Amino acid sequence: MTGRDPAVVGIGATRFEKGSGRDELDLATEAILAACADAGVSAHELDGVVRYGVEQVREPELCATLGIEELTFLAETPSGGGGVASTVGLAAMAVEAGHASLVVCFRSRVRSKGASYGADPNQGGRPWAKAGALLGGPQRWQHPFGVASPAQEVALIARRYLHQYGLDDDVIGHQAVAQRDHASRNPAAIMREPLTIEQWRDARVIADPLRLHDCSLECDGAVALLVASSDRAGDLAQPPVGVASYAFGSHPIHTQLADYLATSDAYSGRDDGQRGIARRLFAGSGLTPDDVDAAMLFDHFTPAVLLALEAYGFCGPGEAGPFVAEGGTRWPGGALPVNTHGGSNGEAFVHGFNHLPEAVRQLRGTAVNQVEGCEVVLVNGSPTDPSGAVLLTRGIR
Amino acid sequence: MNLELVPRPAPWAAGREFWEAAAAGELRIQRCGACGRWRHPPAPRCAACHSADARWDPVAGTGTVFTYTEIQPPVLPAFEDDVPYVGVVVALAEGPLLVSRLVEHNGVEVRVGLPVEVVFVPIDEQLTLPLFRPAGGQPASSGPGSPPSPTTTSRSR
Repeated sequence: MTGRDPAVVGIGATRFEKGSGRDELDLATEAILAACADAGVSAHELDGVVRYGVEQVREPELCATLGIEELTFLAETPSGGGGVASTVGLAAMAVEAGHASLVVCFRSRVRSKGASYGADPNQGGRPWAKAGALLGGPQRWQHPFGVASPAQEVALIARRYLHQYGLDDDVIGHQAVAQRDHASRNPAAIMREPLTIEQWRDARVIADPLRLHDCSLECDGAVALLVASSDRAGDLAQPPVGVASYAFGSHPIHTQLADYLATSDAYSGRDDGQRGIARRLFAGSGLTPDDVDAAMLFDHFTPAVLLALEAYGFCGPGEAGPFVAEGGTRWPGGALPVNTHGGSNGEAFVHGFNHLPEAVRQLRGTAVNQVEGCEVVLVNGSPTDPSGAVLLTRGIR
Repeated sequence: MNLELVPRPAPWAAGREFWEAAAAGELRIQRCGACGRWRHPPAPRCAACHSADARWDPVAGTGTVFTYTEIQPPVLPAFEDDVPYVGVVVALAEGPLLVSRLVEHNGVEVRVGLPVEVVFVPIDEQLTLPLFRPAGGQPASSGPGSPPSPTTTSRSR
């Protein structure tokens, strides 16, 4: 140990709800203060901030609100949900390089259906519906044809995947069911009613094969996480969670759908970003997919989980469908419990950021659906954005 | 389709040639002027040889359904009266993939691999959409899956 090994030392979140009536700064500061309280540090001591590119809360207002004396490291990840794990990777880099010793990563989101305010399309409601009548960006190759929402884009990707491997639509439904079962025991979850596969099948179709329950819960909420150097981590309130490895990569993004489909491995035999991230992630850790006890996989829509199971080497090509259908991602009993907090269709959708504290709880042994002997957890970002992944461990290795 | 609400490409945005060709009843796709590689969506450089030379070559307008989705609400306001409708990615015979929409598919099982052909649907004087229908398609019929008709569906809200 150099004293600069990165560790996750604190997690915090607001309540997840619809129509909170609060703004992003308000929610962010609550989550950050909760993470600081969890770690046993003062927010005055924070010296680094990492956020999503689409985050509305910016550093100056955060510093002013929390009385942060001086930031020595600031970074943002490209785009939105691709940034989940990459924020931790950037914070870990900063700690290892000595640029900071207590970095907060966070995401704050006010996106209930009723909440729509401010000049930025990412403030409330549906950003895709606010692209406007005159399109200068890549949306101009989709929106005039009626293909606009992320659900519609992921539906096209999912249909191709199901066709490629001759899988029934039900396989994605089984992941929706597994996550809702996990959520049913999570007091923080918005959706605690269990779901059956029949209910999944009968639910409203959003964009075939996606049903209502494959979609994330648009809500208000914020989540924060603290990364500290190992020389500080030992003195703090919680047992440290190690950052064993992190990797970044670029995917073709979903708003250039034709490009996404043309360049992704599952569709044309070429490599895609997620597989590259997986290779670098495991190579940098000395761990293999077999060592991973649980995974928190980005799930803006449930098919993303199946794609990740294959990209990260937990299943062979086309095998994630049967794996999920046979309960492989369920707790208890599954070979690889996935999204044990209930994920984005059960707990909440905070752009995937709420997957990180669940990984930490699993490694501390405090999760509601606790995986026995959980030593290693993988967390990834969206497969339809520039993205990244991280391997977290019980204790610093 | 509510024609007045159909989002349209900004006149200043690159790729006008695609829309101008469609308005003239032609499907043209950008192609590298140096190495001949097709590219869609259009881009200022060839990803293979980095040449900035580009030409817009006509394509046959035939291909197959690469993937599809039957779309239900929520949709953009322009398409609210159309649901359900089928969004597609078409693999053109020449190779490039194109996001579009399937029309005139009554009685046809939509599937990956379905042969399709382009049909041009005028929205207004500036914009014509290259949509696709099953190849060897029947003449237009009314009802779901029929081509949107400006004369019968145009209205403001």
